[in-house]
Formats: sequence, structure tokens, C-alpha cells
Amino acid sequence: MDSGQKISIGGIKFSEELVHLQISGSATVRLLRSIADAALNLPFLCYGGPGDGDRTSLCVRRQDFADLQRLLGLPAIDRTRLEITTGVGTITIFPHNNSLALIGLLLNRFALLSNPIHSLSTSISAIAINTTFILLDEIAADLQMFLRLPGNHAPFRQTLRVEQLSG
Amino acid sequence: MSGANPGGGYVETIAVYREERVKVYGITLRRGLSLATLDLAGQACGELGRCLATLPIDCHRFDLVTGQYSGDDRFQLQLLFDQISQPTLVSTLESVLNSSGIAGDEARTGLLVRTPVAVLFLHGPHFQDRYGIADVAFSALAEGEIPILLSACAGTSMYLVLSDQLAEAGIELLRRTFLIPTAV
Repeated sequence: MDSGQKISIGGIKFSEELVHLQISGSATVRLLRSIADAALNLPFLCYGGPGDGDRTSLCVRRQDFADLQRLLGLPAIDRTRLEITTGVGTITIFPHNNSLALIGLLLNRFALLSNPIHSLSTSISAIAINTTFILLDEIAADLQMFLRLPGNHAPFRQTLRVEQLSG
Repeated sequence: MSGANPGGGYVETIAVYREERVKVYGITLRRGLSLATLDLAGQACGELGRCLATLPIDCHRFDLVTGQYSGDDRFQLQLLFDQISQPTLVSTLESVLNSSGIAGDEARTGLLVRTPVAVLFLHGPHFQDRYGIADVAFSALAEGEIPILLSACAGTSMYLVLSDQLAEAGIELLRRTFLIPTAV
């Protein structure tokens, strides 16, 4: 696909800085309960299971990482099955229009530029890709050679934040 | 709720809201779906992507796509789509794997299709900013002994893919767990 065949999209959004956690094994339900009890929000969660082959990828905000680390020290969590990546950000592209070609384009551009994909998921209209936080601007600039934003639109960071204080 | 103040610093507003059960805008059940799991070496993702990107933009519509690493630099791409599309989509994926050379490499690329499956989709207010929502759904299904095959939570959306046989039991359980506003 060359730059003359740009795919029209509605926007690109960047997250704040996150920490990405990947856990394998069957501890997901216990871990989610511990995270909920500690009042930690998960801006992203992807789970594939069930059974010993369970794989879970999740993100927490950077400022919640210390609390998450305390939970990961719990006896119920097998630390040998954990992989923690700091300095992660989510780039969200919308709408995806349920197009497999768009997914392919994104996989290809990330690979060509050696930008990591830690995990990804579509939602009802967007695709969220977890990658390196400090590369978000660079990645968006590259993707705009293939994706067309509406006029007067640019990738944006959300400045309004909603935070649940207690249950 | 807080937001950046153009004058510097932050303005903050606190609203108090109580709910006995987590409120959702609705729970949608879709049955008759297929779940394809593509397991490939991490370095093969780019080539897979290149081939997929050549497909017509409006062909092979999916319901959900997720991707994550499964250890040993293996990347697992999971695609949920309508069962009716299964023959053509699987054929396309196999063709992509063969033409790209991914299928024949030493990395033992695997394509597994599970069918029929169902998906429960729910979304609710500020789900992306609130804690404990996934726990509520996962715990309820675990207590009901309903295995989750795949789940994805991003933005305000939550997808729960189940075996088609357990779809009705799953939605009944979630209807009892979450509060769905109804018209009076």
C-alpha cells in the first residue's frame, strides 16, 4: 500500500504513560480481584484462556505501579510467569471500520520501524496498541503517511481525567 | 474528575455517585461466531501484516481482534468473526501464511479455529477510568463455572468470548451481576 492510497480515519489518541504487565498461568481471576481490592484502574486488559495456557496483558498508570508491585509480591502470584514493561503508551486509532487490511497495515508499519507491540485490542470502533511511550509521536507521524486524518485534526492527548476515588 | 487548566495547574471537580451494582448501558449477545487463533513468531508479524494490508479495505470484517505475546517470542493474534465468513477468511489466512512463507518456517505457525463461539459485549459509563469492572465480570463467570475463551477491555468496551453452548448461561449470569437500566 503506497501513500497514494491513504485510509481515512477519524483520529489518533495517545495515552498517558503506563506500565504493561503480562502474566501467564491461571492466576488471572485472583490477580484481577487483588487489583480491584487495591482500587487500581486497568486502562487496558486482554485475556486469552482458559487453563494453564492463560495469558493476560494489562496496563496500569505509571503512578499506580508501586501499588501493583506490592500485589505482585503476594504468595498467590507466580513471579516467574510475569513480564513487566515500563514506559509503555497506548496509541488508539479510530475508527477501525472492522477492516482486516487496516490491522495488517498497522502490524506491518510497527514491524518495519522496529516499534514494539506489547499487546493490542480492538474495541467497538477503535484499535488500541500498546507500544513504547516515548515513540508515540514518531509512530503517529509514520502512520499518517498511510492514514488520512480529517482536516484540522491532529493526534491528541486526553487532558480531562476521570478518577474513581472509592468504591 | 480533573482536567488541565489553561492558566496552569489543574481544576478539579468531585462528584459523588453510588451504585449497588455496576451499571452498564446494555449487554449484547452475538452467537454463531468463530474464533481464529494465529500463533506465529514475533518477527513474522510484519510479513503477516504486509499481506493482510493488501486485502481490499472492506473485505473480511471482524468482530474483535486481539494480540499479545505468548512466551518465547511467540505472538498470538486472535480474530473473532461471523461463522458465515469462516471458509473465506480461513482460506485467506492460510493463503497469506503460505504466500508469505510464514507457514513453512521453523517457527511452526499455527492456525486454530474454534467454532461456534459467542461474544458478550457490554459497555458502561467511564469504564476506562474505573477500577474493578473486569473483576466483577470475571469473578461472576468463574463462580458460574463458565470459562472465558478470550476477553478484551479497552476504552469503555468489554468483550467476553464464550463457548456457544454456554452463551445463554453467561448472559443470564451477567444480567444478574450488572445493573441494566430499563424504561418504565
